[in-house]
Amino acid sequence: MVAGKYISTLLIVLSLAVVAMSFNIEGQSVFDPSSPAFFPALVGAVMLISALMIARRGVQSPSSAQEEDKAPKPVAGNEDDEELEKDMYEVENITQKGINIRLILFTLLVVLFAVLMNYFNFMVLSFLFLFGAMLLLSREKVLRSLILSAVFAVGFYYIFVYVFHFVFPS
Amino acid sequence: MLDQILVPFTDLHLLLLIALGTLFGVVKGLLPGLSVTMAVTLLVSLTYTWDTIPAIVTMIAVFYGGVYGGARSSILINVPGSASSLAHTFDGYPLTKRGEAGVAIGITTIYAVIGGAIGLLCLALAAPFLGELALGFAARDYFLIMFLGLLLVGGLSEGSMAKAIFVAGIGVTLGMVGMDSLTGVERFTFGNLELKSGINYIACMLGLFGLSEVFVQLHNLGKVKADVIIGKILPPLIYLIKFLPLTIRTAIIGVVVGILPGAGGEISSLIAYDHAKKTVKNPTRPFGKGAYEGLVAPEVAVMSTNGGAMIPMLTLGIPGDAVTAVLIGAMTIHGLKPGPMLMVETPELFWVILGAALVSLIFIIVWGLSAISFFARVILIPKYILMPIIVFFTVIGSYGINNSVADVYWMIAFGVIGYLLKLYKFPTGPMVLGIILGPQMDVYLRRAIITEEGSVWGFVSSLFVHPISLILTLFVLFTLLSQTNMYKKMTKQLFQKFSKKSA
Repeated sequence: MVAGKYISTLLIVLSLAVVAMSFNIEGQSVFDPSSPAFFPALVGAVMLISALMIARRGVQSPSSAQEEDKAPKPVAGNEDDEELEKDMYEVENITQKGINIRLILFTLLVVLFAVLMNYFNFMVLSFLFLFGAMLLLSREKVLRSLILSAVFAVGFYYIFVYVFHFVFPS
Repeated sequence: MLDQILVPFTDLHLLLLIALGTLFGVVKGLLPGLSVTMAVTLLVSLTYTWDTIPAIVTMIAVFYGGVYGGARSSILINVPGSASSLAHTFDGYPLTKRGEAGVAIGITTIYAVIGGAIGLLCLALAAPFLGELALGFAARDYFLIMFLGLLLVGGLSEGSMAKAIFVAGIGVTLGMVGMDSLTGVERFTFGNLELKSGINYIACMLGLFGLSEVFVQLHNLGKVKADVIIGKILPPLIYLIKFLPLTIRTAIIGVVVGILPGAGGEISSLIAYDHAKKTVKNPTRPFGKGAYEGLVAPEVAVMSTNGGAMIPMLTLGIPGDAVTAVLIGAMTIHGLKPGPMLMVETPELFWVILGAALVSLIFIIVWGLSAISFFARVILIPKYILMPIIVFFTVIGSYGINNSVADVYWMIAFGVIGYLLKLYKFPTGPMVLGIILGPQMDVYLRRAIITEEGSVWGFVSSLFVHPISLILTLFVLFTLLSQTNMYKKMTKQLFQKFSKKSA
C-alpha cells in the first residue's frame, strides 16, 4: 500500500510537471488554442485528472498483484478440469530478493554492454555480454553457455554485417 | 492491380524474404511472453537500411507468421504465445492432453489461412473505398478518429481506463518532445540539442515491448514442462463444410474488431470463442474439453483481424492495434505516408502489401504443417539462452537506428519504465500509440481550430454540424459514456432484466 501511495503521488507530480512545462514553452500561451503550448497543457490536465482517479482507487502494489495472479481463475469452458489449469512452467526456487538481485545485475550488464560499445571490438563484446548474461541466469552451465555465446556472437556478427548491412562501432 | 499483387509471388528475392519472415514470426510467436509487436519492432530497426518494399514485405510476413505462431504454445503447453492466443488454450490444450496435438495444430493452420484470406479480401474491397472517402476528411475528423483510437485502447486495455489514459498521456507528451512541425517552436527539449529532433520512437518501442518483457520473464526462469504426443495432423475434410458458417461469422467478427482503432486479436478471439460457445448447438466435443469449434473460432477471428487492422492503417494512417502502430512507424521511416494519400501516391505498394500477406499465408501452411515436432522443441529452449539473445537484438536494433549509443540508452530507459508499468498493472500499448498519434493529434486539432478562426467554440460546434464529424463525435461520446460506472450499472440491470424475462 505504501508503494501504491508513492506511485500515486509520482503520477500526480508527473502530470503537474507536464502542465508546468507547457506554461514554460518560450513565447507561447497555453490559452491560445492555436499555439504549440495549448495541446500539451490539455494533455497534462487530462493526465492530472486520470492520476487523481488512480490515486482515489489506489495503485495495486506488485506483491498484491502477483498474489491476485496466483489466485485460481476460472477458464472459460473447462472449470471442472483442474488438471488443465496447472502452470506449465516449473516454479523456480528463488526468493523475491534473489529476483531483485538478478534483475539489477542483468540491467547493469545491459548498461555495461551499451557503454562499452564504443570502446571494445563488437564481436568480442557481444560474446562477453552473451556469456555473462547466460552465466548469470543459468549459474551452473558454464561450458554450454561458453560454446553457445561464442557461436551466437560470431553468427550474429556476420548476419548483421552482411544481411542487415550494419556498421558496428570499431 | 493484379500485376502488383503478383509481385511477391514472382520475385524470388521477396519470396525468400517472406518465407523467412513468416518462419521467424512463427518461431517468435510460439515463444511464450515474446510478442509479435516486439518481433516486428526489432525488424523495423534491423531493416532500416533496406529498400522500402523488401523491408515492408518482410515485416508483414513476420506480422502474419507471429500472430499464427502464438496459438502453438497455447495448444502444446497451455501457455499463450501472445495475448491473442489466450482463447486457444481453452480447447487446444485439452486436445493435446488427449494426444491430438497434431489435429489441433492442423486445424489452427488451415483456419488461420482461411481467416487471413477473408481478412485480406475485406481489406482489398474496403480500403480503396475508404481511402477515397478519407480524402474528404477534414482536420477535425482526423483528430476525432485518433482521439477515438486512444480512448478505445484505454477502454479495452487491461486494468482501469484511467491508467490507460494516463499512460497514453505520457506517450503523447513524449511524442511532442522536439520541434513543433507547424511553428518550429521547441517543446520539452530543456535546451538539449539531441532532444530537438525528438525521442526516437523505435528505441522507445524496443524498450517497452522488448527489454521490459525480458525483465518480466526474469521473475521465473523455470523450464517448460511438456510431454506432447503429436498424433495425426489433418482433421477430416467434412469438417471444412461443417465449420463454414462459423468460419464466416467469426471472420466478420475479426474484421470488424480489427477495424476499430486500438482493438486487436486479443479482443476478437475471445468474442469469437464466446460467440461459438453460444451459437454452436452440437460441437464435436463439449467446449473446454477439446471442441474443434473452440479452436476454429478464435483462429479465424485472430487472423482476419490482421486484415481488418490494416484497413484504418493503410487508408487513414491510424493503427488498428500495437503491431500496426509499429508498421505505421516503419512506413514513415521509409518515407511513406500511411493514410489516404498512400492510395493516391503509391497505390502499387498497397497491392504489394496485400500480395505479400497472401504469400505469407501460403508459407504459414508450409511451416505450419511441417516440422511440428521441431517447433514443439523450440518452445523448450531454456530462458537463460533466449533472454540474453533477445536483449542482444534490442540493443543492436536500437543502435542501428542512427548508429548511436544514445538510442540504446533510451531503449534501456524505456525498458525499465515498461517493466515498472507492467509490474504495477499499467498497459504499455497506449504509450506507443500516444507517441505515434500524439504529435499528429496536436497538429490536426490546431489546424481545425485555425480553420474556425482560432475559436474553440467554433471548433466544438463544427463537430456537430458536419455529418462525418457528427458520427465520429457521437462515437467518441458513447465511448466516454460507456466507461462510466452509471452506464455499466444500467447495462447490467438491463441485462439482468432481459435474462429473467427470457428464463
